[in-house]
Amino acid sequence: MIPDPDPIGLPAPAWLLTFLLLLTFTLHILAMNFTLGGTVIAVVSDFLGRRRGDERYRRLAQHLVSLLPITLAATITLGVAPLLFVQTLYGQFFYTSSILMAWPWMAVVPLVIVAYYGIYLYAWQGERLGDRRIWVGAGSALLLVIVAFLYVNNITLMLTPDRWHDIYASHSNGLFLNGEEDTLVPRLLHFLVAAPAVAGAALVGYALFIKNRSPEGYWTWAARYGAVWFLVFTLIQAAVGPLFLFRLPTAVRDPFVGDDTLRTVLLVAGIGAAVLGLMAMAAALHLRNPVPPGLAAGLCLVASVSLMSVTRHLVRDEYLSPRFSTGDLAVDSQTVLIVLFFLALLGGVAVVGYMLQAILRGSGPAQPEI
Amino acid sequence: MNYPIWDVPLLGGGLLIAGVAIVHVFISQFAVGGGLFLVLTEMKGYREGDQGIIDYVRLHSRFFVLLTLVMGALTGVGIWFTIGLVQPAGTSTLIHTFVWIWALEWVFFAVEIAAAVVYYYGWDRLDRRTHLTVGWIYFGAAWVSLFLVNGILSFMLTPGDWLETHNIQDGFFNASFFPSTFLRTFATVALAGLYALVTASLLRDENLRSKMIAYSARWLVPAFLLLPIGGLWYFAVIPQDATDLAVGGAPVVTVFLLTSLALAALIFVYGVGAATLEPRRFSIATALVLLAMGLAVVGSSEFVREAIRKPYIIYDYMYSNSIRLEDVPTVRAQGALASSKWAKVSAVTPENRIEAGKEVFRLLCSSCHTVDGYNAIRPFVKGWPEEYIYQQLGQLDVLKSVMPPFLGNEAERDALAAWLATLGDEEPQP
Repeated sequence: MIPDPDPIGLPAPAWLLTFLLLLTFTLHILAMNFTLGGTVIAVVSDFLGRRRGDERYRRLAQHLVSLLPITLAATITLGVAPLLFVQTLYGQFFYTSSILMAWPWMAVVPLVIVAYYGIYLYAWQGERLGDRRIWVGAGSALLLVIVAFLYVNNITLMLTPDRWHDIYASHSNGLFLNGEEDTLVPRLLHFLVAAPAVAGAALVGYALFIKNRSPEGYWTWAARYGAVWFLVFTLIQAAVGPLFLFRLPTAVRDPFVGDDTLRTVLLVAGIGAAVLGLMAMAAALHLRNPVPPGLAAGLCLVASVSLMSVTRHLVRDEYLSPRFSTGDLAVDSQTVLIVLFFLALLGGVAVVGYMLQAILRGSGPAQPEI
Repeated sequence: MNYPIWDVPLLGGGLLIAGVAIVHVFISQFAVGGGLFLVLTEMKGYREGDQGIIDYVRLHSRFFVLLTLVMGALTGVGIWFTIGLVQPAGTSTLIHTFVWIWALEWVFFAVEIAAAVVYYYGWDRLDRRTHLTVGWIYFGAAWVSLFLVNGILSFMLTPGDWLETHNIQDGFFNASFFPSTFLRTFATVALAGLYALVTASLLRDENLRSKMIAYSARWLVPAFLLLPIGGLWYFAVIPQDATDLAVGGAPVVTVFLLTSLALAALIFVYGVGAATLEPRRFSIATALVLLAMGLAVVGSSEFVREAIRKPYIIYDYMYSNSIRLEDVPTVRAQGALASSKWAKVSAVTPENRIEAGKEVFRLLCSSCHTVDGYNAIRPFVKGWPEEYIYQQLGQLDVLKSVMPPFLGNEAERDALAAWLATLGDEEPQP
């Protein structure tokens, strides 16, 4: 039942496309975690600020919210690239699972559009909306969670071609969700729970950024507040992660729990980085200056997410390995274009870097009164 | 043949793609020309020392960001989603041939998005020169993005030497590449003017309002002088069969082409006329009507572009029903049912004849036809006896040049005719 791979083959070695898939996926997932987690933290902080009459919560929520439209744009942009590379490498799996759940899959687009406008509304009209903005923010966060749910449906369904035939027999109208999949819920939780942890760690960076422009009481509070979010959700992850691991089919899991040295080391390293992050962040809570250990924890988290992205990729290959390996695809490299792409990528990073430093430095208003 | 088929009731997959694509083109082409409009109008404001113009550009940039970053970007993702669901084999061909073009396009898209954000938030934080530089970076990246995507779009109609060489350069710089890049570039400038008329007509200061309305309308001029030339150039290079479809071969396509031309002319005469002669009387309602007409022009010309490519998804390489031309002999020999990995019926037998016919329809016809919705098959066959349908199926490509020949075997042709004959007897499904 698995469609044949495209007869045209790959226009670059599979390892290169895989590298780009993993690089862009990791960046996408970090941006997604920050945006979703940031929305949740902003909504909760906004609410707590009102409840406790504490201006610090409101201020933090306001700053965080003003970043969200930008980070959501980054999430979407960074998400396009892995979507391209996954189709290139695994098209016959990805298209098929998408077709089986066509309508829910199509729904991703309007859901993100509405969530996006909600976030703009929260960010740009928050004052005018008053306390109703909390509902707008919560609504956007909920829509993004649904989007994540739909993604996890598709990404798990593409790994289980044995089930496709029966699904197609009963669902050629494209109304299917992968509810029977054992790993669906833990996998979704694994991604969702990471979101407030990443955003919490990012708050330490925020504290550093505003350090010279705000009273000490505020920035140290903000760093510790972020640390608490990080700690709570990373501890929850300590329960969710193993649950996900043990829901995987034995044949897929075994290489990661001892059968294969490289895969086991990789998983342990990913977990180890998260544990190191936990310890550093716990220290941040108790030190007078929480920023240095907090930033170290953030770096550990980035390392953990990167290692887990690679692990996730190897899990996928483990699922598909009896029948398919991207290494078997015919390759006809378009060398000139590959070089051109990397040159453009370097140039693009330089140009974006130039623009970011210009706006962060602030070279003065564009338009003094004429 | 290779992929399962998603049954989209009433609309059919093709119309679904068209719906998403037209909205996307309408916004993303504005995103290109609108970038040029922002920087040039900002420069005009500085040159004339007119704070009102600067405030207007700022207002327009807010609208621009809200529309292009959200709807423009996400409808683009939406096209990816839709074509992958409706035309997975064709999408796969485009992806595998042009991965690096797509990847390059992604880099420019990312720069474009970043520049739009920095431009918008930079009004208060950047000096004039840097702010304008960011604006130019935006426009440059957006146009290169159009340039790259257009290579792939035009490839679908005129793949040319690529069919023999499978060389990426032959595919990208294909015969219709330059005329369609020319057409699209000037279309983006006209769209910039149409959208600007909307925001300009909302200005409160009457003098500024009149000034910006007249100014915005001037953005329509280059397009309406140059698009006819681009159109003639385009039709000169595309396959003769495709041109024939547009000029009478398929009446519906001709109607759309004429609609597009007539509305474009009307926008020009009415828009430029009203905005320059009577800018004070030019209301938001007028601007919105012109914008809606612009959407109709984009929609009908994109429809024509898609329709004249029939019966192919990629000209001379893959039919609309996802069958590669090189696979036709095999499919004919084995039968469509046996060639498909996903057919619910594996072969025609005397017992399953009707059911098999229905499955043949899903495999070979449903990429363009629905039963009762868009391009419905029922009205076509109503009252036709089975033998007559069978005859017609043998010469589809001769009867209608938008259709491929029937690609199944004899038994399948017979079964399809039998199933189609039953349609005429039943009432339409609700």
